[in-house]
Amino acid sequence: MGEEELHQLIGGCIRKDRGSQKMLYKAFYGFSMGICLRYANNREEAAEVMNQGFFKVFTRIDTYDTTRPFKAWLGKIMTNVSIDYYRANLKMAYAEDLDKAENITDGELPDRKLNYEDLLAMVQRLPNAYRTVFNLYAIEGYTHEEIGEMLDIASGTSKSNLHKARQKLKQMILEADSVADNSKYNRGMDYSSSVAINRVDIHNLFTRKNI
Amino acid sequence: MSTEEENKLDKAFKNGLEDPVNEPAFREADWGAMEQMLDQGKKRSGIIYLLPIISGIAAVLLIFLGYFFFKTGETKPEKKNQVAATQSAKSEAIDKAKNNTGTNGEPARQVADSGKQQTKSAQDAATGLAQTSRPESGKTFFPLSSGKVRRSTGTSRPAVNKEQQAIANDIAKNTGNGKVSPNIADSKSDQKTDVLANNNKATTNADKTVPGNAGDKTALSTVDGKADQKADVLANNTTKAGDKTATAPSDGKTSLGTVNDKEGQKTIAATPTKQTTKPAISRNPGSRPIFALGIIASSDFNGVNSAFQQTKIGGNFGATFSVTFKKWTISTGAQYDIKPYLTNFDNYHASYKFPTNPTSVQADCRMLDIPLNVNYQVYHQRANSITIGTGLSSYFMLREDYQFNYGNGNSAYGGVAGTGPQHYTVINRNRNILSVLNIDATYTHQINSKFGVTVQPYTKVPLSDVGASQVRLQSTGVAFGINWNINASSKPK
Repeated sequence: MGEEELHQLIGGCIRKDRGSQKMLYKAFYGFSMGICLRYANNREEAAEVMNQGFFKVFTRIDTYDTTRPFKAWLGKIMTNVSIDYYRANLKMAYAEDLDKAENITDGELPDRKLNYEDLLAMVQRLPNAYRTVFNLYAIEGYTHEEIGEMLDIASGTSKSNLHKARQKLKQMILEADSVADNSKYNRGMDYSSSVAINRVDIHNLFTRKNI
Repeated sequence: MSTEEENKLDKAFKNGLEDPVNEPAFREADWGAMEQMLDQGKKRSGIIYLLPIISGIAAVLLIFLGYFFFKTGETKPEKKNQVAATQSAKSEAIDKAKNNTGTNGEPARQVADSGKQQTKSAQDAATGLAQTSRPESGKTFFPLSSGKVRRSTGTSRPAVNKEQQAIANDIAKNTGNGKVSPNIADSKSDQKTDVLANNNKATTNADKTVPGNAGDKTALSTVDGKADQKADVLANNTTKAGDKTATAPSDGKTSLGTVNDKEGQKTIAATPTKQTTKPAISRNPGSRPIFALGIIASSDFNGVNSAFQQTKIGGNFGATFSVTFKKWTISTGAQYDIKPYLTNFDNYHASYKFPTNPTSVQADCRMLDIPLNVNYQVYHQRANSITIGTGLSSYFMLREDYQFNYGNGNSAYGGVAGTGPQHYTVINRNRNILSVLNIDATYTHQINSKFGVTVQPYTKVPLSDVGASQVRLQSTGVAFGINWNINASSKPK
């Protein structure tokens, strides 16, 4: 999307024009959803969070400084909304002990490059508190002090949560790698354990209209 | 995990997640939900966002009305007091005037004394100080005399001024007392001089008197020994001063110099003190609002969704402020609530997805309760009364502690219980404005006009979900309190 077209859409959104709002929404849907998915448990929650983010965008778009990149402003809003959405769970105290997990994560990370779906699935399996800190530190590039302020937690807690998140992710990667090695499939975790197709499935396969 | 390995892991996720190869495809259903939000946003801004404003306006209105009633309740009796005191003082003055006017020379002295007094009281009335900064006696007495004094002295002054010096000399000659004459001669502008001059005119040179002069009228009437029934305030002051100096030598001319203004003031000030207390008692306590402050403490049962088999006992304490007008009482205040409760996990709502759902949740909530209630008096006999009331409360959650009980839910899968969060704390986050309905009955026993004790059974019914857990928290209990009527009358109704 060109700069001129973007400014026209923003102007329409300031005037509360529903058509312009939908076009802006569609144009930045993938970008925004990509951010929210990293913080959410699943796509449904991510869509809900993203909509809350767009709601803020549409209601506060008159405060947007047009001299700055729109994508950065939008991304910041999506991150903040994601944090707010899960803020209630960020201070959850876990009884789960990671000592056991640390023992498991002995071993080296494989050099194989994991695809987007696999990485996203792993991040989404993390508890909210670990996932948020990992996202903010590893992907967004914030420091522990900044994260502490954003999440209203101690920087020590941020470090601890990051450490636990890494341990868990490493454990997941190793597990996925071992499964891939055993199954001899090319795509990491992306394998199917089904070995037989029953009669009903075959019937469905041939009667689906979109095939 | 080594630092190198950590960096490798971070980089792998950063590169992989930051630029998805295939961005999530647009779904029309998501835009549908977005449109709904945008439409609801308009309604939200119309209702929900206005609630704090509405409640703020209501609070301001309450304070304003309270202040208005308070002011009117306080000022009206003051006026009544003044009028009553005026009437009684007038009649007393007339009586005294009858008794005292027979003494030769006395009125002159009396007028001399009252002259200063009148001037002062006139100034007081003009500046408005008579009611506020003066002693209590001054409140009623000075306004009494000020208006009329101003008129009477105003008329007498021009008529007499021309002759002041000459008449003062007459006095000096007549008395033969060097101490007195300079005093009078010096105070040319003083009313004392004016009136004295008139008096002397009346006694020594009857030809020079000016008819229609208020000062002359007084002097003449007293000289003649006639009690004028229509004597104005000037006469009132005259007689009072005369009382004080009744034991002085009978020669009025010589005693002129010995009249002490301070003594005169004391006498005058002491007289109306008794008069002012009487009208205060006659105020009707039922016709004005009564403002009361109170402290309250209560204990209640707390449960979720009327599930009182799982109730826990909480405690509350706080302060109240109420305005009672006739049978209606509007009250508000602030209460610190301690509300523990236990509920099934089904009633607990959170966006967080528990790995294993707890069986129950034990909560301990600390909140600020701001009620706004209206009560109506249904029974009243002697010092006892019963009111029933309703209203709305706003909860400001100060601290919410949630304890998750897992029981033995996981024992079937390995015997380890509680693999999820054990507890969760939220501080100062949730506010539920006017979200709880209060229903209460209040029994009040008035110990005296100022203090009363109250017993108040109550129930709090949630109109919406409250707190981080979004539960329907219901409370039922009994509150005990002490009320202090700020502007109570001397006797309980």
